[in-house]
Amino acid sequence: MSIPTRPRRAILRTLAAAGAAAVVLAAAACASSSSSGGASGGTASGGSKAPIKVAQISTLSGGYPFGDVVPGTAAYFKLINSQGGIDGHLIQFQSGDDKGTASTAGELARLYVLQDHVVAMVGNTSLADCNTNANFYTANSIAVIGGGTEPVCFSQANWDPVNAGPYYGKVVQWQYTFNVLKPTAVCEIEQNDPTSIPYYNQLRAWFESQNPGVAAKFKEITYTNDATQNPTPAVAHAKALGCDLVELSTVAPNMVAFVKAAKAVGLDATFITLGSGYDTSVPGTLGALADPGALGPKDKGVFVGAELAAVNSTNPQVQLMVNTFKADNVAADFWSEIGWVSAATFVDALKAGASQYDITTAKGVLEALQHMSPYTSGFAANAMDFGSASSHPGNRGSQMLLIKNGAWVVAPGQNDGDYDVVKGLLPAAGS
Amino acid sequence: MVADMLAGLVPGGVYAALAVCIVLMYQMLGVVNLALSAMGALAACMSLLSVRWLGLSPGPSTVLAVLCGALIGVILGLLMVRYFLEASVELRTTVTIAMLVGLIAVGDRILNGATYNFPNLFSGPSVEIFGTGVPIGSLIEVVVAILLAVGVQVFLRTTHLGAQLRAMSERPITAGLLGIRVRTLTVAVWAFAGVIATIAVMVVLPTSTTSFPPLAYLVVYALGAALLGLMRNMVVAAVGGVLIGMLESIVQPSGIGRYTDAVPFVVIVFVMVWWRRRDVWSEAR
Repeated sequence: MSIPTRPRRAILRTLAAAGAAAVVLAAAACASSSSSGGASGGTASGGSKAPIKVAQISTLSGGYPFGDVVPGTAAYFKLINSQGGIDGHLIQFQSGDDKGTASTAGELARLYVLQDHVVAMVGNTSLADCNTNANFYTANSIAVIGGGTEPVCFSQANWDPVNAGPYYGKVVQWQYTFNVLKPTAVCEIEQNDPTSIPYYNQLRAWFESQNPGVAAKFKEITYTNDATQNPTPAVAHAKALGCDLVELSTVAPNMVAFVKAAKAVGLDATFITLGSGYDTSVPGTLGALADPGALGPKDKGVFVGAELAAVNSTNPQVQLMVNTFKADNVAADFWSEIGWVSAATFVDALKAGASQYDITTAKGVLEALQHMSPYTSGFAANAMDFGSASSHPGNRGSQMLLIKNGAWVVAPGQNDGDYDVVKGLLPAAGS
Repeated sequence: MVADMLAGLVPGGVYAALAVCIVLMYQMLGVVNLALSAMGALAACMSLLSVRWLGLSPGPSTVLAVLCGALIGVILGLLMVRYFLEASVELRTTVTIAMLVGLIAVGDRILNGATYNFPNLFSGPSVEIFGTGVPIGSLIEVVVAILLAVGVQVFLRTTHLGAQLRAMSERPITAGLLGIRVRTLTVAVWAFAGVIATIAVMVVLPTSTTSFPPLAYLVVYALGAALLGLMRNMVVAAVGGVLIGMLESIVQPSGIGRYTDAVPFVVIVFVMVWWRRRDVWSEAR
């Protein structure tokens, strides 16, 4: 039953055009999702001494956006500038959206470093930056403090993640899963990221070797968590396999989609994800669906491994952040925390090193960071220390949170401000 | 396997509805509308905003979203008739890429990576089939998409307006000289596509990510389905959409699951090679 209209030759010509368009579309998929590829977000306006120019490259658009990291960073720098800056130097901050693409990440890094002469990158939280710019940063003595979104971010000399991420954070998540939640069958739906897959496999093999009996409980390990795909097939498959716990590594909108899809297909399971799912809007969005037992008797709730402090923590440093964010109209969540803690670590190191190093140059900033004393941020399991090794000790812990009665609360087996830390020695990231 | 296939009805229903619109627009207007699902997604955003700003309940907000879908279609249709009425099919199709990019830029700013509760058209319980819950909305969408395909084709073949649309698609200038309101009908088809795309996206939204770009790229899968119908047969395109959804659902948990995004591409290549097989053999001889 067809409509005899357009001739076949015309259709073929159009299909060829459509094919070409599909290629352009793929490019547009990366290039179209933002309008802020350039520098923006300046927070300082002059001062008696030369400014300290810093920049940030983050993924702010696309399937995995880390949007609040920019205002989180800017809020801290604004606070410091209002107090006179660092040793009289005001901080000039700009940021750009790499859209999760290597080409844009590389382009922005060169723009900021070679043209704008920034002396460090602060708050970088990107799907592409660690992979793309590692050698460039090393060659130009540019230090980076930010949020590591891939294991490879955790094994670079000039790149220091403030989060536990898909590295220490993943191990802490497994520790909590098997020691506290004790599921009978686990379906792990990992990020579809080719760079990280070999490392995930290696990390899991190491964890299984350290914890006999765990391997048999992993019923399904797939690398299909992709924001472009509907989550329904994945949760339906988890149901067919009898999984009573689903592990994810994803951002909040996708985590919400997985839980809703689980309800739709009748999957009775607990959900747990990395800190990337820690967003204060999640409890309200999921509503009663997030409460333990909402998906069935095996559902112990929706958990996240908060790699940085819970925003309702009573820690005064956390409260300072929350109040500053409130004044600046910035959402307090995992991403804005990464920006804040990255900036705080950077400022602490430069304040201490200002008398010894020229903190208006990239080399001076790098030296100040390499010789910094460990900084207790109040947001992480351990003090932050850049150091001069080929990789950084970073944030080795996570605090498990659970949604209960419409809010994130400290999960069973945890105490406010206490973090589970990685036990044992991990294999080197990316090795 | 059966559970995986049934799970594919959720995305399959969306692909089916979008594929019908793609074929309709191609046959009637001579454009492969790559901005189709972005139109629907942006209109769906309006339902969200209406809930937030106006405090509307799910019903009225859904109606508002559908009206927005029609409005977006009217605006884009007017742009098309104003500037590209006599342009080539290739050029018109390329223009829709620009529309897609523009819509994504706007939609991405609205959703901004946060989580949302979109109004649910069919919030009732799922239907249990072979141990797998299938959302009632997805089942309805699959059926409606196929009925839509049949209905539109019957409409085009048997009604006076359908004949006018077909005439317009074949010879727009001649049709205009004969008194057919080409511009009005073109805009009407764009508006109709906007309405269908909005409904299609809104059905899948309650169980899909609320990041805008993935919603805008649903059209890629639908394009594969439209090609199964050789850009002519809407019924085959609709059924093809459901099959691609099922294929995607089977592939996803398999050993090659990380390549699920390649499913529509494989379908497109296969169809084009199959379609041109005689030409290739003729040249070889």
